[in-house]
Amino acid sequence: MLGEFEYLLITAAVRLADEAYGASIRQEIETTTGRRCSLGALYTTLDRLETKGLITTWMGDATPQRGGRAKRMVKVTAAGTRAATAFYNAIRQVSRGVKWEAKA
Amino acid sequence: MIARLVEWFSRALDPQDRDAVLGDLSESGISGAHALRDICSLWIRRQLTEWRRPAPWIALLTLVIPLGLLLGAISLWVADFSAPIFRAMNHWRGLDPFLFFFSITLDWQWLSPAMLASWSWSVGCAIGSVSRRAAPLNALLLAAALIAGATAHWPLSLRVRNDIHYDPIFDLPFYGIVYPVIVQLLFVLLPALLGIRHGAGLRKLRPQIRAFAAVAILLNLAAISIQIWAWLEFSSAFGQPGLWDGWLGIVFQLLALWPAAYWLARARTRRKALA
Repeated sequence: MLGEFEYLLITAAVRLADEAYGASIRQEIETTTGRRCSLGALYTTLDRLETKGLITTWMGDATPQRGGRAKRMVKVTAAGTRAATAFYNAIRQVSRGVKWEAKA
Repeated sequence: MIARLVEWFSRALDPQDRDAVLGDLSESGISGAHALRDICSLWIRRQLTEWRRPAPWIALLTLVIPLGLLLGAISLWVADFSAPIFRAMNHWRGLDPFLFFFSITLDWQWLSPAMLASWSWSVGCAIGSVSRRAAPLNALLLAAALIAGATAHWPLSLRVRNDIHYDPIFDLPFYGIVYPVIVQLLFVLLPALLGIRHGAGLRKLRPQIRAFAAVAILLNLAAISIQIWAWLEFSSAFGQPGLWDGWLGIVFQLLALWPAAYWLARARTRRKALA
């Protein structure tokens, strides 16, 4: 079972598709959740997901906006998609019938 | 200033990681303290992840602690016997420097600082190759083990024994306190750190060079480990350790100088590659 941050990272990478790399994934997570995402957490989670075979990463091209430095590109594997789907379904199942409106 | 610190800290990361992370920071417009915090948090997390694996612990328990303590003690012994030589060199007026240098070079014991540096480099290589990514923390722990080894051995040192021959030398603050620190820094810590750096990149070398280095490191570690018994004997009997006794001692001394042969072999391979 994925962790919450792992799920966020995989979802962001799927949404960004060919533009999924460190900085863009970080931006996506910060925008959608409103929480700060540290590079340390991002890169160590990328390593962990890659070790589990849920994503693949490779070094992309260098661009001038990045000071001529390469990007670490990310692609979600079929196993990653299955793991994220299982996580989403579990959250949906466990949330069925629960209302989260703030109770005074 | 902080930009320089970011650049400096980022050198602790793998080259590819460094490129990607610095690029991400540049693209996101993050700089200053935030960038420094990001780099440091990544480095700390990487170290923590690495220490969940067995390799850094194996390096710590089999190399860093035992051999660090031993090298710390031996460095103090080398400082003990080499201090009188340097002291004499400073005071023997009218002596032909060439003849003096020639005579002490022929003495096997003069090889001991070279052996010490060579052993330290070999230990560093082994630590670097076993725990590549966890090497920074192991380097720090090695420095602590060296200090602990020298401190534990201090009461047995010539400098604290009452001896009419040595007291005039070791009563001088430089030879009594500063000199052993210099010996440990120059002949143990510095070569060990260079060895760790080299060992961490050993896997990138050609297989023949790698095999040669691995065999030489293993033989040298065996040679150092044997000295543990000599060291124990030295600790209990106040005698000289039997490092240089018999033909085995000479073999160990020659074996200990393997990094010289290794660097020659590497230089030759590089020259061939360039030609």
